Amino acid sequence: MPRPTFLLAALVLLTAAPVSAQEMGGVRPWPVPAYGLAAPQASGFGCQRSQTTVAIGVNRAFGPGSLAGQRTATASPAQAGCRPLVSTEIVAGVNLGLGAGSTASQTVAASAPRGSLATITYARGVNLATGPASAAHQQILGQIFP
Amino acid sequence: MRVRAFLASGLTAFTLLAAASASAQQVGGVSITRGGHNYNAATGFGSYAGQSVATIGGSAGYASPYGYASPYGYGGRSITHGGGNTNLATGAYSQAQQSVTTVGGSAGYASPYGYASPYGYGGHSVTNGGFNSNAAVGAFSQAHQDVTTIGGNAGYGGNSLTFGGGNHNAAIGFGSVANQQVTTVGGQ
Repeated sequence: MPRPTFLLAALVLLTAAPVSAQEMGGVRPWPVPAYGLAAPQASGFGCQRSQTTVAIGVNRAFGPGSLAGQRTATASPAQAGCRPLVSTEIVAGVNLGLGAGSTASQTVAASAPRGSLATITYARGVNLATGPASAAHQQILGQIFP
Repeated sequence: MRVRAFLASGLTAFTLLAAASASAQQVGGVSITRGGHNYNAATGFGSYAGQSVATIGGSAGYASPYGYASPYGYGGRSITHGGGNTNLATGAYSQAQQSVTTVGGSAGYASPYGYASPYGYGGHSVTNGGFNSNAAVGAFSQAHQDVTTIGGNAGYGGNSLTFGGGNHNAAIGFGSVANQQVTTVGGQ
């Protein structure tokens, strides 16, 4: 093979490899058991590359003797037979009992699938009972299912 | 001379192709779980603040349901951060309770049947559950803090860094009570 033709073929191969990797979507679990050391996952088409699940709640009890309750649940299942390459989950809540004798209750929950390459989970909560004889209850739950 | 140049160019192209394929195989899993830096405070007179944060990270990277490892599994990174929490009872006769549980996910290969990759070079597991603050400042106030951080599995034969120190617990107010419990379990 002449050298320019060989270099051109190598260049085409080098450029085609990342393009094919970018066009490849998430991974689809292999339906049958794989024996030996073979990877039991194959490339899936039409699957999401990334998936982000966000659950944020803000709950306040202002008035004297007031009661504020909040329950937020977010479930983000993956596509059937698919798994995203990157899965990001954010769970955050702000719960404030401001009024005298007030009660603020908050529950923020989220459930997301795990990513094949990366799984990122953030959970953050701020809970304050500032009023006299006030009460503030807060629950932040973040879960990744396999 | 032309033959040598041809061989050199071919070797370069082959090296590039091999490096590209190897880098694709070397990509391990990454699992980042951050459940810390939460804030709980009871500032009003006779107020109560209770906070519970539970974060359970998932696994990242290859995990064979059949117990076989990838022959090119080079492990991944598992970063678990459950520290940096603040619990304050500043009001007189106030009470603040905080419970933070953070479980990191596994990165890289994790076989349920105990088989390790023959070429698995492991990964990195970083677990930080420290730098928590608990204080009962108000008169006759109570502050209770419980922080549990469990690091993830970073694959076969990797590095594991665990830090659970740097915590502060203080009962400053007259007749106040402050309890702090920090448990940090490093990854494997």
